[in-house]
Amino acid sequence: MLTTYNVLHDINSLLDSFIEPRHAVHELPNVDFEEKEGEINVKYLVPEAKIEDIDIQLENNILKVSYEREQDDSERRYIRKERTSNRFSRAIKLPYKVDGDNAQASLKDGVLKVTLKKSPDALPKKIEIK
Amino acid sequence: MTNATESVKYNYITPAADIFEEETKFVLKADLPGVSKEGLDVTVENNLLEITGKTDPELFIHTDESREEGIYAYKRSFKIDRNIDTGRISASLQDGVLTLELAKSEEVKPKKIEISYKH
Repeated sequence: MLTTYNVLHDINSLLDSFIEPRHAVHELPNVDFEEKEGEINVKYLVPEAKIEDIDIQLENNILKVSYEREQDDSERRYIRKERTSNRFSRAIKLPYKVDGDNAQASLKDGVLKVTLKKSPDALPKKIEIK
Repeated sequence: MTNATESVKYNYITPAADIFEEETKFVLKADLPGVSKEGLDVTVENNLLEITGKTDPELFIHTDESREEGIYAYKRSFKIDRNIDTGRISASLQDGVLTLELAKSEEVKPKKIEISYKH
């Protein structure tokens, strides 16, 4: 995490002190994986992302999601800088083969959700004894 | 799930925030992915700016036993000094990012530092 911290700025600044929440601090995972009854839901935290910034690829049972946001903030006079997530790339090996034709993705409020269904090939097959 | 009950528990997260200065205002940006307008609450009381953002309960449900069950929410507070006109703070929420524009107060001028002598 990149943090610019300037004491002088801080003394003069408006937002000069940060009060810790009284509650325990948890961190949200950047990637949230959930598998239930042949359906896989993967959620990614991508604040500020637009649809065109995101690339999703499914190859065999590897799900690869990349995200990159153009950002020119070199001119900004930062007092505090903690947000850094303007790019990432994650590959996840899925527990089974999925049906690529029925894959779905949606983006809402900075959360990307990818829904994948188990491929019919991966379903258990009963083998008859002749 | 939509019926709010008293037993709803929240797991609070401290969101990452940027603050930068422009000529007439300060801008604060905070990452609140998963929060929509309905779940957002920004208050200024006395000199305390408080940001609370509740995520959509359907969004993150953990069955992991190490975590307490509850809805994820963001919470962060800042102390505001008098360089900010608390009557002129505007907020917008887009793509999971909260942007607060805090106008500088009119009385912000170069300040003279008074020196007092103690005998």
